[in-house]
Amino acid sequence: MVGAAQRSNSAVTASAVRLFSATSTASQATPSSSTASPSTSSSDDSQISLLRNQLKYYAVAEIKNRPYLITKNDIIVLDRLKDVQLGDVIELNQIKELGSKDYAIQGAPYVSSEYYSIKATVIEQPKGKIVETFKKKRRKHFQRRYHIKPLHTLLRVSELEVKA
Amino acid sequence: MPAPLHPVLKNGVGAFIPQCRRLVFHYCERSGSSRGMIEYLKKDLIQFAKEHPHVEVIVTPRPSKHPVIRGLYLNGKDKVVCVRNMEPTDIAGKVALLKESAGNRMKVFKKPVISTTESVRGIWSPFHAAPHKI
Repeated sequence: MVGAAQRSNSAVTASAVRLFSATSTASQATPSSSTASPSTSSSDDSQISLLRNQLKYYAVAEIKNRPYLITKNDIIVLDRLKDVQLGDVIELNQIKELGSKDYAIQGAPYVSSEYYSIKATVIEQPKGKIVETFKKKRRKHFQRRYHIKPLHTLLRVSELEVKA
Repeated sequence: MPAPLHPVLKNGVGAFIPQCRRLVFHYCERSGSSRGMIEYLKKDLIQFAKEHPHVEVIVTPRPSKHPVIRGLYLNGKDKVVCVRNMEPTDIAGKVALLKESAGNRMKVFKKPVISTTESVRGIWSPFHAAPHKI
């Protein structure tokens, strides 16, 4: 299902239509909504080749049900993952949107994994600074100070490639 | 913007290099606060050193002082943790904390993604956007 949005780019390039196409994951049995029917293979190829001809890409990855808009070389700051070690490479396969300057593929709910290869390396698992939450109800003699020292996992996006 | 004179390192993109390069364990043979530390050194440290060959492990007595673990990182900074009166399991937790850090100061991470790449879709400009229609 292709929807087109008119959007003019910078003065350097001619104004182009920004195409959005929804692709469902291969494992999904039925489409999530009536508008998100999978495209035919020929139009899929032409759409992905439009994306392939661009230079820079971004992706909206979903990790632990939270979206992260990432490009290559970015650092993702997550809450601590218990089951990873330093140096582990994680393949991200829940990608909600894969796009470039002029084109984007919106997943329904996720983009089919044959179109991309996105990997992230665990580079650090630090402790954050103390965060204080202060609660007070005035004139009620109630106040509390909660202190948290959050644990994080930092992932470096080592690879973000669009495959034809 | 002029190119930087030093290489811009992006640990993890091509190769991943663990940032902790040395752990120094100080203990006192006589004082009671080093009891858990001495037990850790005898029981768990050798296993840890074998599992992490990139970390140089140094054990040195430091008489009449509390037991201390000092981690040295690739950016030249160090982190010092006093482990007085701690049990070996707690000390193992502190060692893991030092091993997994990178020598930076503890800081508040305000944004979920830290990025130095320019925006892919470009910055919005009122002169290049479709005019608002009602």
